[in-house]
Amino acid sequence: MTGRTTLAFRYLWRQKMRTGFVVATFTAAVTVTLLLTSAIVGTEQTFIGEINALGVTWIYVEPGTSNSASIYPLTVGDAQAIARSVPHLAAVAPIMIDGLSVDLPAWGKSLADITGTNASVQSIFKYSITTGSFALAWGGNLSAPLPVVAGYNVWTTHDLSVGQVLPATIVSLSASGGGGATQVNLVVAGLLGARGSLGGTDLDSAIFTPISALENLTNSISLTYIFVSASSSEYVGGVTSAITSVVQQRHQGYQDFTVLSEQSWVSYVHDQLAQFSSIISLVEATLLMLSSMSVFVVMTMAVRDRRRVIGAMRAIGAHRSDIMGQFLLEASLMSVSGIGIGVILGTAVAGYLKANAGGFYSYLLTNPVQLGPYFYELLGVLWGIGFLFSMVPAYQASRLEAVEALTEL
Amino acid sequence: MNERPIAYLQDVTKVYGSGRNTVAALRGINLQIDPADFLAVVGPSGSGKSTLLHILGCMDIPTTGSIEIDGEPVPRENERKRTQLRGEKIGFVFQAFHLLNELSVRENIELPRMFLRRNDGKKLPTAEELIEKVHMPLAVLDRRPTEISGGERQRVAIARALSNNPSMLLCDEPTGNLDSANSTAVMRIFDSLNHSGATIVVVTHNPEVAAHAARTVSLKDGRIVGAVGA
Repeated sequence: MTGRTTLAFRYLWRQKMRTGFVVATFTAAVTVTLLLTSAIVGTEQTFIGEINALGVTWIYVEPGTSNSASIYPLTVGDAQAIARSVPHLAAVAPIMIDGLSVDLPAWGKSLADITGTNASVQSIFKYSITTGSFALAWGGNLSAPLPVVAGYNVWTTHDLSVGQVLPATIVSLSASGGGGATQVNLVVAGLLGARGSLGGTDLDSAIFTPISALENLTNSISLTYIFVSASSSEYVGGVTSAITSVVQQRHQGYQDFTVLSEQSWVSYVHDQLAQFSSIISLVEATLLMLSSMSVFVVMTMAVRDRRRVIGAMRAIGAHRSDIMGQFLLEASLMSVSGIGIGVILGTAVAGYLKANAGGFYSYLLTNPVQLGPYFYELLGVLWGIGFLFSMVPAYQASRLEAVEALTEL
Repeated sequence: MNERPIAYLQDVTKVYGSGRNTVAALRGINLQIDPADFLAVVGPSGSGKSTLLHILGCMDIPTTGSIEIDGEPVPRENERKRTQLRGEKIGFVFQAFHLLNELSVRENIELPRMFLRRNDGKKLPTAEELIEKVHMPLAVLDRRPTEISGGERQRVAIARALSNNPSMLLCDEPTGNLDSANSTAVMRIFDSLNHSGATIVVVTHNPEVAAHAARTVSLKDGRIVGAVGA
């Protein structure tokens, strides 16, 4: 018995170019959509996961607002005022990440992004100590060894040990630092356990040094941000208000800074990703439109080319539903093939990028099932579009009368 | 023997167009086709031969009059029923063969069965039996229509027409695209099928083809103007 599927495959194979075109548009739609969506969902899951991993008691203060830059820099003085005046605090860590080129001949390379902070950063970022301590005391004299605490990737890569002294040339790259070079001896005070990343920043590649030393080296007092931890989640709201009040008072009444709690950060991430989602929806809609047009055009051409075949099939007993079903089957085979290839390709590309490209790509989800219901909705919508847009040509084919089709010139 | 006719047409007319632009293709056709009939319908171009064939094959409906196929009235409004009747009771052989080049000879022969809705338990002939009926070797079953000659294609088309064990074969200029040797071969197949009980209606303007039929009906301007034979 001749199967409808066999017949469909033969016709699709005969029109390889057309079939390939439709399959390619569906493949592109699925691949691009999968990649974009897995990036968004993966980023959201990673960011939220990382934020949640810090707990719910932390509060983040950064200079400037979403609308304007800061008038007054955020300083260690601000951090000290917070620590002094705000009740129910567990820890306050001023953070300065200034552009420093750290040339370490002993390590055979240059590093950047030395972070100036205090020991409170350990509890806020939940670092574990493998060896030594998170002691960042500094006497204010650069001729004495400058203590550093090395992140997991740093000390495992360079085989560091506690107490090791490393001669270094530190060059400030910032305008305030004037580009001067300073010879210092770094002494390894502590080695940190693996921590992972936070908001796209690899916490294991950090090198911490006392913030006062960094202020000295960079000739700057501007903090990158201040991390605060409330003593309990119930105080987060009150601590956030108190921080705002204290810093605003120090900034002459200007609220030229932003205070974000864990909840605010989660909302912020959601809001940012929602904006990307809108753009992605537009891309998806365009791809879906292209897919639907491709299947419509190709099936319309197929009906036009096969009028006599349709006539012959009707003459030997094919019902209208047989003809319609045949064309819908062909359209479905094309769309399903394209969807299948798209899922495989999208998954493969996501896996490749995640494994090799690093950075943002490390957030990609490599298993589309992780996208949850969205993945199945995507497949359903695409198949539905293939089906829907082949309905009109399939219906036209089914209405063709045998006599009309067979007798036309 | 008191068998019911395979096809019975009563006062059949067919008018194309509307208003002043009407063309009467058939005018008051009365025709009975009995089991094992071999009927040739002849006439000049435009005489209504093809229209008659289409109405007999349930591919078209008469403007007035009635038609029965194998005792079943052909419904005017029920297209689905007409298609079903066509699939079960009629086997078509076309001048241009109309085989599907994407399918093998075997698949072409079996194609009409894909559309059968009713299964009344009757055993249908196998592709092998059918290909032997049209005097072709079994090896041809696995070939494509594009790989065989025109004469062979028409024989495959005849095998396909016999696939559902139809009550009647309707043949529209079956030798129109064939040379004389192949025409003769095809007509011999029709003779052989008719001798074994098949009812055959051939529309032709070729007197040599019509000569194979036991009965000839001549059409002119949509009317039967002559009938020869039993």
